[in-house]
Amino acid sequence: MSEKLLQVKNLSVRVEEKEILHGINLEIGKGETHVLMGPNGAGKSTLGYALMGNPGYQVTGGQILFDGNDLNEVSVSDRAKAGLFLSFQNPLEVPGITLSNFIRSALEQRTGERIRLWDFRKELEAKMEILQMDKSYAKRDLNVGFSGGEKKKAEILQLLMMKPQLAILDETDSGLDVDAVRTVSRGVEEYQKDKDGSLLIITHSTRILESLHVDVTHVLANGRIVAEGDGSLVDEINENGFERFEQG
Amino acid sequence: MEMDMTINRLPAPTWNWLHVNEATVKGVPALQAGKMEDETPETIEKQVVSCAVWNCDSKKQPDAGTLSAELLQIPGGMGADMDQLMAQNPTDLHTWTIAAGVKESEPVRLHFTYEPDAPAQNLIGINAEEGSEITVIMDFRGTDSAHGKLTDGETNGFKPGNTADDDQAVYDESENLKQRGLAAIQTKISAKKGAKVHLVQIQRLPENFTFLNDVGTDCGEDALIDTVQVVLGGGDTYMGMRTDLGAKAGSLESKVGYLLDKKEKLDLNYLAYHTGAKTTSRMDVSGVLRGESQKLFRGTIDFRNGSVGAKGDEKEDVLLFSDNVINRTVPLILCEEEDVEGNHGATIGKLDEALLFYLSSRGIAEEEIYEMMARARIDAICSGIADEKTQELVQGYLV
Repeated sequence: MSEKLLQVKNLSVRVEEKEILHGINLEIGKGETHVLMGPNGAGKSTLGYALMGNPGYQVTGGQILFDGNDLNEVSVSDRAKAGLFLSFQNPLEVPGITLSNFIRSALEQRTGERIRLWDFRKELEAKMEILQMDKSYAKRDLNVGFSGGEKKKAEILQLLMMKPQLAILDETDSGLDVDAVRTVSRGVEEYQKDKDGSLLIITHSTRILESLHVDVTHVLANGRIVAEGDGSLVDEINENGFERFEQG
Repeated sequence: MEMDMTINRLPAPTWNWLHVNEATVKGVPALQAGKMEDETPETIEKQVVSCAVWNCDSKKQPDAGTLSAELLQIPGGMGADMDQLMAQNPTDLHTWTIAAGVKESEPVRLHFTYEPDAPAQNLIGINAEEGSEITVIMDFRGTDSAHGKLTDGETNGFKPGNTADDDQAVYDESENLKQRGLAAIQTKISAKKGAKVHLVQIQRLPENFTFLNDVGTDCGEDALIDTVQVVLGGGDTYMGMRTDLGAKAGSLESKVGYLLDKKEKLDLNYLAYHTGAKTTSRMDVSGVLRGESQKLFRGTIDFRNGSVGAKGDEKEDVLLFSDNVINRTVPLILCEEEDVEGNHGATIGKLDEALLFYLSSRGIAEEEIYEMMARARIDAICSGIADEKTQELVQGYLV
């Protein structure tokens, strides 16, 4: 087993007055790819938000350790600086800040150093090419007027540029056509290759997983991990759905 | 002789207790001519009409039929007291005229430098003949009193606010004006048939200034008046703009961007009078309030008889970065004509929590997010400035 990067111990999370997650346990090693599957409303995105530290998601019990450090009191931005990344299911539009400036500012904030514009542009354009993104998007306001597919590509572009230790992809493949899923998958592969990064892929479909090697599959239902297995569990769910897990 | 001014009157007053009907500036001292340097392309005719010629000394109207008369009769947004201020001090009228059919891509650049211990005023006229196009860029700066050194306040864009004890009298400057600089400018614009006038004003005065900035425009048939005004400095700023859309299909595009901090104040009065058919107006006001700053925006679209098919839009976007700011908005749409369309939209509030989380999740600290969003407001306004040099000037100020 590889070195532990993320350890979630008995995590319970409440949103407003309702507890959504009940005692989640999860471990992700460095370089591993984990998949979190489950029916709608199971709490998959809640786990992603809680790991990233969304203040609207209150941890009521348990612990999140990242690289051995307890994240419970760590701010969202410091979690990102520590190497956590969340790709949003519905990326927000940010008028007035271009995609390029945003990524550059984020990188400079993380490193505390100015980044040479020439080097940055070169790398950005190379990554955009992998994702088959038109270069003009770099100069456009972040996500403003982007199609659903372009928004997801912009998320993966940020992933590739920021090179986090652990990327949580929340329904990155939802709403994408077959070609777009393939392109996004290529970006995710590139991330793994480039940085030996760890992945937690939250999904309830399997299209994005086709070209990825899955180490562990977790099934979440009603706020609990109800099953775990290797990559073959994905195929089983693909064939039989979530019914048996929900009943359990 | 000191003058008490009532400016920025709302055309249709509301309850007095709301304190939005007008602004009063008390104790305005005698003003001298403000220092101005210009860069004028060869295609544009520059004239200086002395005070004696336009009769400011004698308080008479300028001679009929002259350019002075034509321009000076255009009313501004601040109202009659501003005209009186200009007339009671000996000030030359500086005009720039572009001939019919000439489209000049190079802008006229006007650099104004004001000193805190020398209250000053400028009077500017812009005359665009039929089918012409002109861009005028005005940059307002100040000096510190001791050394005459140019200063913009702090270069991060957020300057220390004034220290005068003025929390009660938002509109009473009488004490302030004894302690600080005062600059006043009036700009009159005439755009003839099919002409396009682009006016850009960048205000980066130090925090110890009170600034009165009045614009009056007359928009001819199929003409366009396009203005971008960016307020980055100055303690207390009063701005007024009136546009008369009296001929068919005339058009106004007005953008204002501001960053206010500490105890700074911004008082705006923008008026679009539609009397011509199919005229259009758009006011886009966007900015950020921090500290204990205050902003009051009066935006009036007045559809008068004859403005059949006219359209007017006013849009406001205000980010509130503190619980102690005061933001007031008075959108006013008046209507005498049936077939018109008037819209007002406002987005006023704090930074959305979902947006804050999204940006934080990329490792950007909350404080920096606020700075980024503030800069984004100004960037969005500045994107309407075609001149790269001016865009860089603003960007440099915000860094």
